[in-house]
Amino acid sequence: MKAVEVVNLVKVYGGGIPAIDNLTFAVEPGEIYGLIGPNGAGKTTTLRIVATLIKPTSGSVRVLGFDVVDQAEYIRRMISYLPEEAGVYGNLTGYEYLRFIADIYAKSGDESESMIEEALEISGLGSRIKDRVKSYSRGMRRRLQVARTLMVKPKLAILDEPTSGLDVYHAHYIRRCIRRYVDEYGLTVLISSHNMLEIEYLCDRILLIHRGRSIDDGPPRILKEKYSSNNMEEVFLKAVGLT
Amino acid sequence: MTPIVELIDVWKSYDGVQALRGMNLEVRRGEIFGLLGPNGAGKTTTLKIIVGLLRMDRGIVKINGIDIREEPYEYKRLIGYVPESVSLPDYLTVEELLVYSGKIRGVPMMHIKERMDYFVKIFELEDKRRTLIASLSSGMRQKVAIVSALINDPDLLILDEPFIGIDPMGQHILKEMFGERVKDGKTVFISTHMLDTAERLCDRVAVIHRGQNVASGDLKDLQRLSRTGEDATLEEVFLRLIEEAKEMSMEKPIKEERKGFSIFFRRDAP
Amino acid sequence: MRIHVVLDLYIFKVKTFFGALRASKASIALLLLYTLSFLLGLFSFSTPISDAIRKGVTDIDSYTELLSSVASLLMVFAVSLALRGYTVFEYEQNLIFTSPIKPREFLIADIFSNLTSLLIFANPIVIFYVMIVHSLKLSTLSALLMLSSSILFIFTLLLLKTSLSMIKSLYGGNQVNTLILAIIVILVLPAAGFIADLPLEYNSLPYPSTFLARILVKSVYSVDRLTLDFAGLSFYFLLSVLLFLSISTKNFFPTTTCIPFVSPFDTSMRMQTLQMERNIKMFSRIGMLPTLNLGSKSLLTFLMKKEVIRVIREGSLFTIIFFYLIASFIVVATSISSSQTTQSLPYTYLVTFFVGVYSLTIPLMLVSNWRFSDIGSLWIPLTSGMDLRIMVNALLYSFISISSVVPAAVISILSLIYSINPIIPLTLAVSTSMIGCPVNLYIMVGFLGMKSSGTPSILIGLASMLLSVLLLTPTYILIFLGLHLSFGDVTSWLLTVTILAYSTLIMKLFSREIKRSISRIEL
Repeated sequence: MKAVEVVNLVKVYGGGIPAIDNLTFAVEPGEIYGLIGPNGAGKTTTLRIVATLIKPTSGSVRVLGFDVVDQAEYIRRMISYLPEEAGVYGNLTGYEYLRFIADIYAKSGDESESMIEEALEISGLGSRIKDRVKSYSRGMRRRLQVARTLMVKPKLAILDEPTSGLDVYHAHYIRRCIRRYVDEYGLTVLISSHNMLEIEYLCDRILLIHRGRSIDDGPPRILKEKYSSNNMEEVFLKAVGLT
Repeated sequence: MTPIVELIDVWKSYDGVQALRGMNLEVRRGEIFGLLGPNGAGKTTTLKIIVGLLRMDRGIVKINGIDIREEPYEYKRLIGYVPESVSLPDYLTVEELLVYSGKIRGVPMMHIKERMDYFVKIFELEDKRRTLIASLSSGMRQKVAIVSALINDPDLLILDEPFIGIDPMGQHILKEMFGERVKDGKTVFISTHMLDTAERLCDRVAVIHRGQNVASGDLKDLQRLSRTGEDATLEEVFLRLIEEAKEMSMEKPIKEERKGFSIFFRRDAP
Repeated sequence: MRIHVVLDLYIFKVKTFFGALRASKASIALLLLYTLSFLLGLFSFSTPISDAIRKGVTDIDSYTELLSSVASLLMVFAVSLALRGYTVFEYEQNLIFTSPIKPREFLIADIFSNLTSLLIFANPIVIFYVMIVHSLKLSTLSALLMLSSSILFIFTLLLLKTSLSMIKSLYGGNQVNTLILAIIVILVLPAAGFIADLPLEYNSLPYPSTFLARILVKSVYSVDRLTLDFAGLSFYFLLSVLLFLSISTKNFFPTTTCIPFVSPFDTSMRMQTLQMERNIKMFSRIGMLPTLNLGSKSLLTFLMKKEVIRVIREGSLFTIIFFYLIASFIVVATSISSSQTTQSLPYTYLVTFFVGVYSLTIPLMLVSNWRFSDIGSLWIPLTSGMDLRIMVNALLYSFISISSVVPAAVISILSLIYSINPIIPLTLAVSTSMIGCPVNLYIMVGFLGMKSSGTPSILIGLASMLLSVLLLTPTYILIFLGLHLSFGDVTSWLLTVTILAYSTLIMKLFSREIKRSISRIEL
């Protein structure tokens, strides 16, 4: 069984040009799979469909064997989604926020406690966790979000630009956390990013998307060889046929 | 030759945070200069002070040798600036915004038209000329903002995190444009936290931490200053410098920094 | 269904909803002010009502009719909300709709949090209810009956609204719209029947509102035979529960729409911007007629044209015109219903009064719109090295022109209708805009310079209005004199000139201050 299986996916918003045009890919369990492409390529739309937030126009999307339209409830028990623009409501404290999510996902009080502990570790917020989210910097908010996404140990984590707005320091740290979770708990990660370095460091395999269509996919190393490039940026430009 | 940008002991605090603690900086004419540092190091504050969106508490900022406190408006005509999170008047079309941007800078009509045609083509915005900015994607808005900053053909182009939110193709175009400007003797001054990009792109960089310039120069200078060895990448150099700066700031309490120059200020490498 | 999840979700939603109240003292003060003014209003009604009830002057039926009309209008309101489909906050989509929370759990938490916020906003009514019960010395049984039937009714409304919104979101289409509209028409009949003569006595038909009204009125008068009415109300409640149960397991999450608020006190800047973008796309079809282009015009006229284009394309000009048309409609309606004197003086009074009141609000609307749509791009002029005096002048002149031209057009029409001399109201309108625009802009810019982003815009608006009224006092006095003493032509022109000269003075004074403080803004 694939962790994510997308077959001939099409998404059209309100009769316009398709945001996703016949996209097909599969994510194996336990791997980190990255989507790269320019703005408006359809990355976020794809992730939101996998997260059961929007319905596909046609084609089939299965997550861990379940259909995103008919069996969304089963999928939601196993996934955790980090949107690109995650607004945590400013007037709650970081702790109140984590507590709420832990209580929803956990099956017991103990489990919920240990989730919060892990989130504290990932976020590195320390005593600031008792402060209102309003007072956090952009980086702190992002770390809180990443922490809440990982702490529930989902079978599939869907991360839309997880390190956007983070500096090298914290981005590094978050990447290590993601890696560690994958190695320790065997979770599958579907990720999108602008940062080619991040993609190279993190992903086992990547998919290049352009204008809602898939251009190529494979492990970063193989792709670099295939396009005889030094970095992923060049790979992308060559694959799209720009240089 | 006078540097195009010079900051001498600039201090700034706002919202209860000491954002700059004696920032010193020198950007030379005709180079691509990168301002690097972790979140909250003071990159955006530094740039905003230079373009006049924030006022410093004390210190001296000279643009092209002119003290900006004495001449707070005229020098801006030399500058093209794009902030980190771009917000544009949604109700104008791309062409109208560019005309507006040119007009308020006093650019002659003929030049506005010429440069608009040129840059709109380069940034692949030709079919969007009469489109409302409200209908553009965020990446396109950023391109429009960059074109609007170029409309006065500025000697000094200042871009705050230009590579965030712009796609690989856009980044490619942007880098080519930087190269062209430098060839014409113009200066490009960017802030970024994408170190691999900075390493490939910038002639010189400054690494800043907690509102101070920790080290600046080209990659070789920085390798030497950080004692990381000749094949160290900029990322390794950066991490070492920040680590060192953190240790030093822990040894000395902040109070002692209030004496003109900062404790770990190092003059630009020769 | 897991009760603890519903409870957690409910608490989270309520916390989010009232987060701003917890955070800022100003918001609590505002809520108190709201409660007090609401209560004051209720009090002024309460004495005649309770008197009437005690004396039993009017017959029970007309009370029942009035109450059932009001209740039916409440139902109409609730059902019409369903036309938008199911709306949620942004965080709910991203966070809750991807978590293991089931649709029904979410819905129940949503209904209860709606009820909570309803009770908090309607707190004056709750207080009022307690006072009524107390002052009329009602028996505990009647009081409980009133309370429980009201709660039953509110739940029926919430369940109906929830279910219909879901149906709209899930199935969309014209059929659903027709269904909802049909329900609205049926529900509006009792209220319509109360005002106009309709062929049927809707207020005695078995509507839920009728049952509620009967229970409320009968329990005050201790009339028996409430059982039937209570059974009727319960029947509708059960019906709405059944509807809810049958639909609430459907996966409606992917079909919901986001609204631009985090709570009634916090708007989400990002979602607001999206809303503004939608407005621009809608209005720009008309607004693309004038365009900004390279002309040999001066920078000042160029920038003024830009402001006018903004006001047209984002739709605020239409809001202002619409607003003013409603105002003049009220004037006409009042003049018809009130004294039928044929003298022209009362009409002049009436028109002048409305002009004075409505003209005050236009500068406020213009300036808050400017803040909202242009503050984000203020960095463009501020970093351009342009002379900021020209920018401020362009802003002021364009605002003053817009806020003078719209009233002037309306006044001209009104003065034709009533054949009155338009000079006095016109002078008032122009003076109000010449003083109101700079004052509003000055206070707005001042707040921006202070970086006090937490100050509710209502307070900023209030401060601007008060200062404008204060500075307009000389104008008001002169206008008052002009209305009362029948001056000759020359004197009234002199009056106008004096007022305009004074307004110009104030405008110049403030525009200088604005220029000073706009260069102090830090972004």
